[in-house]
This record gives sequence, structure tokens and C-alpha cells, in this order.
Amino acid sequence: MEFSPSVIGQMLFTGALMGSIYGAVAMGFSLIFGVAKIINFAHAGVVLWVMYGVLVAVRSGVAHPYVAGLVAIPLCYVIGHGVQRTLMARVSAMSDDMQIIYTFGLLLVLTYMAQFFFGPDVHFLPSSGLAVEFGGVVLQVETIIAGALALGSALALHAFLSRTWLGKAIRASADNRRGATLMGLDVVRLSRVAMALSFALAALAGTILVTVTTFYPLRGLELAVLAFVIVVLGGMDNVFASFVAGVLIGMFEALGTLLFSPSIAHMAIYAMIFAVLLVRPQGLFRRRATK
Amino acid sequence: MSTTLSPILSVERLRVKYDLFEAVFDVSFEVWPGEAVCLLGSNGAGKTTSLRAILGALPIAGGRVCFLGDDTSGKSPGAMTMRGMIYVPEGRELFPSLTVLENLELGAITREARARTRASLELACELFPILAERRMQLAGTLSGGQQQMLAIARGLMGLPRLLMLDEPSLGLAPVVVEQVYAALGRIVRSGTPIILVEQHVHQALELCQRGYVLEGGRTVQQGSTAELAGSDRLRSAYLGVN
Amino acid sequence: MEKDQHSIGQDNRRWTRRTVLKQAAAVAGAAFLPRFASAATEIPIGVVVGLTGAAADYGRDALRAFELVADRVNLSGGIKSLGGAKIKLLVADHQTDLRVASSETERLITRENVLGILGWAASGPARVGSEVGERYQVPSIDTSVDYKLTERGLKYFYRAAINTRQTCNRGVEFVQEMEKTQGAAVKRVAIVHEDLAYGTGAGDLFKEAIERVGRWQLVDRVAYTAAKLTEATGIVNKLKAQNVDVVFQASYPADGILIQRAMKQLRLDLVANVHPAGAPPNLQYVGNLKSDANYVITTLGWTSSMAERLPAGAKATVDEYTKRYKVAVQDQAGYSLSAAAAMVAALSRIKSLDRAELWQAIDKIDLSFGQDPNVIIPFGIKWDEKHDNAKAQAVVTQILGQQLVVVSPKDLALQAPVVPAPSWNKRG
Ligand SMILES: Nc1ncnc2c1ncn2[C@@H]1O[C@H](COP(=O)(O)OP(=O)(O)O)[C@@H](O)[C@H]1O
Ligand SMILES: [Mg+2]
Repeated sequence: MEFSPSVIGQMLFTGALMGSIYGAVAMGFSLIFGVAKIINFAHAGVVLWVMYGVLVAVRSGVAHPYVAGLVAIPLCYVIGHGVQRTLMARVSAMSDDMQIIYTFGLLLVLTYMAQFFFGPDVHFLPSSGLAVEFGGVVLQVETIIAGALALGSALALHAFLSRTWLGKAIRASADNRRGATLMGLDVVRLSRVAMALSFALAALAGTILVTVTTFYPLRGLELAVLAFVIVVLGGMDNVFASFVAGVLIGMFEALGTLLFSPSIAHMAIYAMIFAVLLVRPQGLFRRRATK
Repeated sequence: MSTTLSPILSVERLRVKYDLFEAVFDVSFEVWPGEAVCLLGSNGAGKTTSLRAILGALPIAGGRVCFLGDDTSGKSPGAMTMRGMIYVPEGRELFPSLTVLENLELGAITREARARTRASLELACELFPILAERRMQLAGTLSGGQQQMLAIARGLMGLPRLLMLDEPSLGLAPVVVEQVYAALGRIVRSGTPIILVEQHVHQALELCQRGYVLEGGRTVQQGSTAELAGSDRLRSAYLGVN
Repeated sequence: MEKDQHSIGQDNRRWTRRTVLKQAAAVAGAAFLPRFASAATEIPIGVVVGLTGAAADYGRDALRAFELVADRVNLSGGIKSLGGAKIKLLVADHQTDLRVASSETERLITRENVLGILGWAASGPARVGSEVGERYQVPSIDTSVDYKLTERGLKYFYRAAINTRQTCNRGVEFVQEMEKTQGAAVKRVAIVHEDLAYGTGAGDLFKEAIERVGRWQLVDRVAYTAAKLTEATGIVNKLKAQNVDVVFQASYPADGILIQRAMKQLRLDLVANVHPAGAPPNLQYVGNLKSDANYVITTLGWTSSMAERLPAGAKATVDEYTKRYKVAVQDQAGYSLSAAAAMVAALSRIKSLDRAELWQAIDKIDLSFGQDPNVIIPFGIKWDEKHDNAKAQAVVTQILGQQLVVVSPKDLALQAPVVPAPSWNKRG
């Protein structure tokens, strides 16, 4: 096989763009783990439902996918707030394995509800057909927009968490919940804000995914595994590292596809995760903080 | 005006339970404006439990706590902190993976404190110059003494109307304890009322004007620090080893 | 034992006697004893299909077809050679679950005493169910497509459906024909397949067939996990880098759609893109891709677009099915109508309700297209040494104008194939 510059360029750009989208799926998942120490598999269920929501809006002629996403994001923010008040309120008091069973159960409920309402069929939005071409590399406009939105939201979230007082407070309550309580931070409110943000991120991820890929109810389970894998690689609670890990996985997948095959690339990704868990359980990018 | 006539904090017959286990039976004390008060007592006497209950982090099972003239029952630590009651916890409870600067910034919890962040930071760094040097370092990488300084400085960032310090010298080398107490002396002299919980009785008695002795969840003695320093009871129960 | 017999109600007296006979047979150590045709007014035939679970669509279609054929026979006076005995279908749901498939097959054989079995309309259940049939020496005619089912040397298991070996081989053969008739230039070919049983099996079969052709260069074999495929430009980029002329592909709908879309995006122009059934016949494929699905080629055992060209009797059967169930005849229904026809033909040749006799009759089946109205798959049913249907022939269909159109063989074709496919730049 010859690796012409255009073939390599195609591989690199596709890998980076898809990886950014994976990162977008993982960020909200990682945020909730960071703040509430909950492994929220249901996150992928929210992404799935946003995908169906956007699909319905587009199919019924109500809105363009991006417009639908613009509505979905604040809507999900509000829903996330409500969910933290109700469904998730008692989760942080559960034991770790109960939490996983609970959130995974929620994911199954969301998945099978999608199956019930929308059927098991594959859905897929017609693409604009617009593409950007340079040096033999062809990139679908939707994919470029998706990657840009994912990167933009990762940067915005990173800025929010590292620059604003509220963002720092969210990180603080993730770092030492008891300490945060004792110094007067309202950790309950902060976890609601975090869940709301996580839902908003799920809405963003769902919107951009809808424009680039096919989906069906069981896709939710795959997305949950993907998010989990990325977050393990990035270090469970580091949101920006999760995004970077997503990009890495996307690049790795693209390279593995070009050199071998997607099956082998995916197997290698899982092998890599296993190695990370063994050697650097704190994730690739995280410094080990000493108390 | 009223502050000159009434105590900042008054605790009457406080009772606190951990589920069924009653840790504090009968604790009463007061802090008046500008005053530094120490709570002394051996390990397990109920000092930390009392402070946390006053802050609202533990439910009060009986008695009455008034802060700045208001009954505090049912208030959360968030609400108490907003009113100016700042707790510097036992064991420091910093945010280890946030930087020194971020830890300090988070101390400015009220709107007023946040508006004055810059001035407070200058003050804190003047008090503990080492923190200025280390401001971009993660809090978890500081030495024990530096962490304690950061915890105190973080408390000051909230512009306390009452600063409650829980064993600030715990686990520190004697030289470092000296440094910490030098800073506490400046805080007291600036007029900020403090409650100091200590096992290092000597320093506490030197710093404060008045003190209370807790034993088995009860206040068993109170008086000026001069009186307490001469007390046989304190000596035998608590300073015996010294 | 006495008690058991007394507890069985009046209506079931016939069964009681059969039970006695069966137990006598067991005591005697004989596999089975002939039962007397004169005593039988019904012929118990087992139907084991998935009515729930992943293969429920297939099971439902298969059962519809079996019932249609049985009703036709029963309404026209039953099986003449057995004194007008009626066919009684005893239906069990294997739930697309291997354990259930095994236990339900066994139950029909031992409790319901079925003479033969029609099933299993799903490859996994067929694998285990056929082993149970083998153990009890009960002949079965299956409608699943996995080529491996007939590679186990079973004596009592027959498959009426076209298998994946036949569809894959036909695809490769068709490309060779196109080289001759259309002057299509094929040098470099690649296989792309999902990595579960269906795709991997098809990949192996394509590879064998391509190697037999000899003169093509197989430049790549790309396996992917369907559920994990979020985008496919990576795969297509790789194919493009290797200048492939023909892609032999085995996909499910979701991934098939992504790959086809990526081919358009990266403008991968192929002489032909050939699938053995898989994604393209699925309504979702064209539904989602619209005109981008055009020119994709699929080899199939049955497609409803063949109906127009069927012999009159077969056409009438298809029409009756469509009228009765208000749906078109899908591939499973097509195989199942034909499998039931084979069972009926075998029953018409036996003199007593005896499994061994039925087995021999099934073994000798030779039905041709147009001869039995219930045989609707081209071009009839006759077993080869593996008990596969040697007369079954895959039809080649191509998506043209967003329709699955038969383009080969000639006698069934509605249009001529468009090979090589027009380049993406020339499409609308
Ligand atoms: N979380 C807890 N649960 C149950 N008992 C506790 C808890 N924390 C402290 N105690 C008990 O309450 C009593 C008072 O403890 P504490 O207030 O920490 O004492 P001090 O601060 O004076 O050393 C001790 O007997 C201690 O064992
Ligand atoms: Mg204590």
C-alpha cells in the first residue's frame, strides 16, 4: 500500500475530527464523575435521546439540526438540573457498585424506551453533500463543524472550570467534598450545576453525532463504552484530558484502520485501556496529587 | 452598636449526637467582639464536634447557638459562612489538586469578599510570604506547615467576622508552630475575633484572652487565660505530661 | 404410566396410543415403529422458529409461509397417499435463543411426536436444533442461510434456502461475467466485512472464490465491528489508497449505509460493489441513502421484485401470500414456502407415518421451478451430497433508480446490469 500525502492527510484529519466528537461524548461523563464521583452511564442514553430528538425535529421539518441543537442544549441544561434534584439525588449516597447498577439501569431504560418509541431501525440524516477539499483530502462540512464545535466546547468548558469562580468551586467540590462543605460551598447546588452542564454537553454531542453518523437504539450502549474508555484513558475526573483522550482514540482508530483494520484498531484500543488501568490507573495525563 | 453590647457568638448547653452516640452533652461558651477565645481539652473531648455543630455541618440535638444575635438552628455551613462565620478545619481540608491561588480565591465566598479578592490576596501574602512564592503550585504538593498557612489564609479571604481555628498546630514542627502563631497574633491584633481549638496549650494561652476547658463533651472550666494557666485541673487533666 | 394414560382426555386417545407405541418401541430398542396411515387423520409436523428475539421477523415470515402451504394442502383434500390426512403444524418459539431452540425441538420430537421438522429460520438456533433432530433421527428442512450448517455431515438435516456460499460465489461469478460481457476491467479487488459470524463467513467465502478466479489481486480484507463503526471514511480512504476496482462487502444496514456514504464522500469509483444479501436489500438502506444507494449489487436467494417473472403457479402463490398477510414475500418467506413444498412433496410419497420413510422421501426430492406452485425459489429443490439445495440459484440484483432490480439470470431479469457503475462525479 502506498501512503500518499493525501491518504495520510485524510487519515489524520478524519481521526482528529472524529476523535473530537468522541471527546465531546466523554466530557460530560467525565464532569459528573469528577464532581459527584458517579459513573453515569446514563449519560450516553441522554446523548441517544438528543439524537432522536434532533432527528424528529428535522424529519418533521421543524428545524435544521443545528437549530434543533441550539434548543436542545439549554433544554437539557434545565432537565439535567431537575434530574440531579430527583433521579440522581440519592445516587451519591449509594455504594459504588450500586451506583453503576443504577446508572446502567437508567441507560437500559433510555435505550429500550428509544426502541419502543422509535423502533430498532437505523436512522441517519441526509448530509448536505458539501465537502471541503484540499490536497486530495475530502472532508464533509458536517464533520468539520462537528469537530470545531467539539473543540470549541472543550475549550469553553476548560476556561469555565479554570477561570471562573463557579468553575473552580465545581472542581473544588470534586477534589474535596467535605472540605468544600466546611468552607461554606454549597456542594448540592454545585452538583446540580455540574449535572446540568453535563446534560448540555450530552445535547451538544448528540447534535453533532446526528449530523455525521447512523444510529439506532443500541448505539447508546456503544457510546457508554466509548465514553468510559476515553475517560479511563484521560484520568477519570479531568474534563479537558478526556477531550484530549478522545482525540487520541480517534487518531489511534484512524491509524489502526489505515494500517490494519477497524476490528484490530478497536481491539488495540481496549488492550491499551487495559494497560493504562494496570500501569497508570490515574489516567495518562494526571499528576498524582499527594495529600 | 449592638455588637458592643452582645457577644458575637453565644453557645448555651449545646448537645450533639452522632446517630445514637452523644458526643457533646453540655457545652457553653461566648465570644465577644475583638476577643480571642480558646477551647482546650484532651483528644475526644468534643471540641471539633462542637465547632462543626455551630457551623451547621452537624445537627444540633439540644441547646442554643446565637451568631451575631440570630439563632442559627437549621442553618447550613453555606449560610453561616455567608454571614461571616469562617471555619479553618482540623486537618486543613484543602483542595489538593487545585493551585494555591485557586484555593485562596475560593476562600472569598461572599459577594463582598469576592469583590475584595485582590486586597485580601495581598494581605494573605504579606502574612504568609511563602504562599505568594508557591501560588501556582498544587496545594497537595505543599509541606504540612505551608498547607496550614494556606488553610488559615483561605479562611481570611472570606473576611471573617468570626474565625474558628481547629488545631492549627496539629502535626507541625515547633519552628513552624511558632510561625503560624506569629501570624495568628497579627490576626488577633487586627481585631478579628477568633475561637482557637488547641492541644498546644502554651501557645493558645499566650494568644488568647479567655479560655474554656472541655472534658467528655462538657465545659468543665472557664476563665481568663491567666487563671487557666495556673489551674491545677488543667494541669492534671491535660498538661500532665508537660 | 397407567395413571398418565388415564389422565389424558378423550380427545387425545389417538395420542395415547401413539405414546404406548413409542414406549413399546423404546423398550424394544428400536428407533421407531411404523404407524398406520389408516389411523392417522393428521400428520404432525413440527415448526421451530423464532417468534420473539432477534430473529423474530424471520420467524414470523417463515411461519406465515408454512401455514399458507399447509392450509392449501389441507383445503384441497389433504395428503392423498395417506388417505387424505391433514397436515397439523405444531409450532414452537425458539426465541432466537440457542438453549430454547434445543429444548423446544426436543419437546416437539418427544412429546408431540412430530414426523419431521420445518425450521429454524435463524442460523444459531438451526445449528443446535438440527443436532437434536439428528439424535432422534427426525428429518428436518431448514431455511437458514449460514453455509457452515451443512458442513457438519448431518444425515437428517436438509436446507432449502440458498446459502451464503452460493450467494458469495454468485457475486464473484457475476463480476467475471461482467468482465466478459461489459468489458469491465477488474484487477484489484478487496473484501470489506463486519466481524461477526455473517460477515466473517462471507469474507472467508469471498476469499476462496477470489482465489479460485486466480487472475485478480486481492489487495485487502478489511474487517470492522459494526456496532463500533461511527464513520467509515477511514475504511474507504484505505480502499482508495489501494486503487481497488471491485469491493466485495458484507455489512449490516447501519454500517453499510456509513460505508456507502463514505464512498460517495471520498469519490471511490468502483467497477462494482457486490454484497451477498446483507445491507442493500434492507429497506432502511435505500430509505436512508436514497440515490446514493444506486448501482450497488446484491446476490439474493429471493426478492419480491422477481415475482413478475415467476411461472404462473408460483406467481399465484406469491399473490396469495401477499393478499393473505398484506406484506410482500421477503426472502425468508420465499425459502419457507419452498421448504414447505418439499415437505409436502415428501409426505405425498410415503405410505405410513414413519420418520424413516419420510426421511427417505425427503432425500429423493427433486422439484423444479414451475412444477410445484409452492416452489418459488429459482430453480427448484434437489439436494447435493451436503444436503444443500443444488438447484437454488442466487439472483443478482442491482439498485437502480432506488429499486432492487433483478439483473441476472436472464429469464428473471427486469433490466440489464449497469457495470461499471458511473463515477460519482457523473451522478446527479
Ligand atoms: N464522625 C463521627 N462519628 C461518631 N463519633 C464521632 C465522630 N467524630 C467524632 N466522634 C466522637 O465524638 C467524640 C468527640 O470527638 P471530637 O469532637 O473529634 O473531639 P476533639 O475534637 O475534642 O478531639 C469522640 O468520642 C469521638 O470518638
Ligand atoms: Mg478535634
